[in-house]
Amino acid sequence: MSDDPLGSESTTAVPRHNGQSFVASGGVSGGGVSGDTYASSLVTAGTRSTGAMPLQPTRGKRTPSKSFEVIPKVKHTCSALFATCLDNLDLALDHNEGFFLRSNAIEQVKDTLSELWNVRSQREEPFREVINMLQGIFAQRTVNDFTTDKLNCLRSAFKRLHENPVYDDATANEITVKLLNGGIDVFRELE
Amino acid sequence: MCFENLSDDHSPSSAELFLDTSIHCSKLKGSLFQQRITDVFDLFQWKSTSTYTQVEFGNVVLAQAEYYLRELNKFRSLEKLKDHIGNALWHKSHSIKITWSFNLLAVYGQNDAECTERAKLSLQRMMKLGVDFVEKLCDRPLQDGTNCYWASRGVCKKRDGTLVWKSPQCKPNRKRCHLDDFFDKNRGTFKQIKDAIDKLPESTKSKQLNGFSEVIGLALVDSAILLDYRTGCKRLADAIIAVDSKEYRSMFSQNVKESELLTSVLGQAFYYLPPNCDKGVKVRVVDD
Repeated sequence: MSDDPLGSESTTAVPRHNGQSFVASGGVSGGGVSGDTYASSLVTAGTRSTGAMPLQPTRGKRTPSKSFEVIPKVKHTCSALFATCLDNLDLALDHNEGFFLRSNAIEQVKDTLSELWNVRSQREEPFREVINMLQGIFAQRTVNDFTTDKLNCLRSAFKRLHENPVYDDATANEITVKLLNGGIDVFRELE
Repeated sequence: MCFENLSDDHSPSSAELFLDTSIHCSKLKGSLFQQRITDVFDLFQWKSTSTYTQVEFGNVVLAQAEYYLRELNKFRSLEKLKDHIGNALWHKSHSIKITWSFNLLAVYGQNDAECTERAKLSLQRMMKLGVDFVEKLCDRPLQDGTNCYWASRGVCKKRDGTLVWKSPQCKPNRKRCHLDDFFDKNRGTFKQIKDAIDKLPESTKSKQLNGFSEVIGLALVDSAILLDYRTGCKRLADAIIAVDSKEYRSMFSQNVKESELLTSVLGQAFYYLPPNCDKGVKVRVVDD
C-alpha cells in the first residue's frame, strides 16, 4: 500500500510510553483483510487492522531512553560540575558592570563544560546532546554577547540540569526550548 | 502596491503577527536573518502560525537533518560528508541539501572524530525537538484549520532508534484531516485568490501562483481532490497557510511573489524579509 506510510516494514516498531515495544504487522495492514480496505471512509487515528497506531510519534511522549546505567560517582561529579557552572553564572550576573570579573566567570563556565564533555561516554545520549549544545553556545562568544537576560536564561537551564538526576529526551527538549525562547540560537552557534 | 523600508518609527496596525513557513526556517539561518527577524518580532505582542507550517518545516529542515544524519552514519566522518555534499551532489537537483548544509552542519571540535560526534548530536537534538521547534517558539494556540495529521505526528522513531521525518502521503480514500472541509468553509476566500491570480498578467505569474489557480479551480468542483497530497494539498500549501491566517492583520514571510498577492487579497500588512540583508525588512501596509 503505497499510501500507508506507517505500514512499511522498516518503520514498524517504537517504544510506547508504557515502556513496552510494539511491533506493527506491516504485512497485515498491507494485505487484503485489513479494515482499511473494507471501511476506507472511516476516520481513525491509525489502521483498523490493529486498532492502534502502528508507529507512535516521538512528539509529546516521554519515551524512556535506552537503559543506561550511570554510576553514582559520575552522577555526583556531574552534579558538582553543574553547581560550579551555576556559581559562575551567578558571579557573572552579579558583576554586570565589571568586564573582567564577568569575563572570568564565563571562561570558568566554558572550562567546566569541557569537564562535563569529558565524562560524556559515561552519560546518557540526551545528556551528551545538551552538553554539546551548551558548549556550542559558549564556543565563539565573547562576554559582550551575553546580556543579563541571556545569562539568566542560561542559568535557569543549568539549574534544571543540576536539579534533574535523570536526563531523557523530554528534559533535553524542555531545555532546548527554554534556551531558544530566551533568544539563544542553540542550533547556529557551532561555527 | 509598494513596499517601504521598516523604520524605527514604524507602528504596526495590529498586535498580532502571523509567521509563514519561511520565517520558521529562516530562524536557523544565522545572524543576518536572526537580527531582522527579532526586529520585526519586537513590534508585536503575539506571534503565531498555522499547524500546517509544521509540515512544511519538516519537509524543508527536518528532512535535510535526517539526510545528514543518515550520511554521517554512512561516512562516519563530517569531513567526508561535507566533501560529498560539496563535490558529489549535483547542484541543480540537490540545491536544498547543499544550501542547508551551511546552516545545519558545522565543524566544531579538535579532530574529525569529535566534529563528527558533535554534528551527530546536534542533528539528533534538532530531530528530537522536531516540529515543536515551530510550535513551542510561537504563542499558542496555533491556527489549526486543516487539522493536519502529519503536523501532529512529527518525527518518528524506527525500530533501530533512527529518527525519521516522513513527507505526507495522503490519498482521498483515506481521509486524515479536515482540509476539504476547510476549503469548503473558505470557498469564497479561495475563489478570491484564484480570481486575483487569474487577473495578473502572464509575465508576472510565478509557477506556484499558476499552480494555486489550477488547484483551486479543481477544488471548487470537488474539494476532495485536495486530500491527495502530491497533486492537491502540497501544491496549494502556501495558500492554505495564508487562508488559515486570515484572522491576522499582519503577515511575515520571506516569499515575496506569493505572499504579496495572498496578503493583498486577505487585506493584511505584509512584512517581507528579503534574503539579502542589505535590504533590511520591507513593509507593505494596508491602505485605509
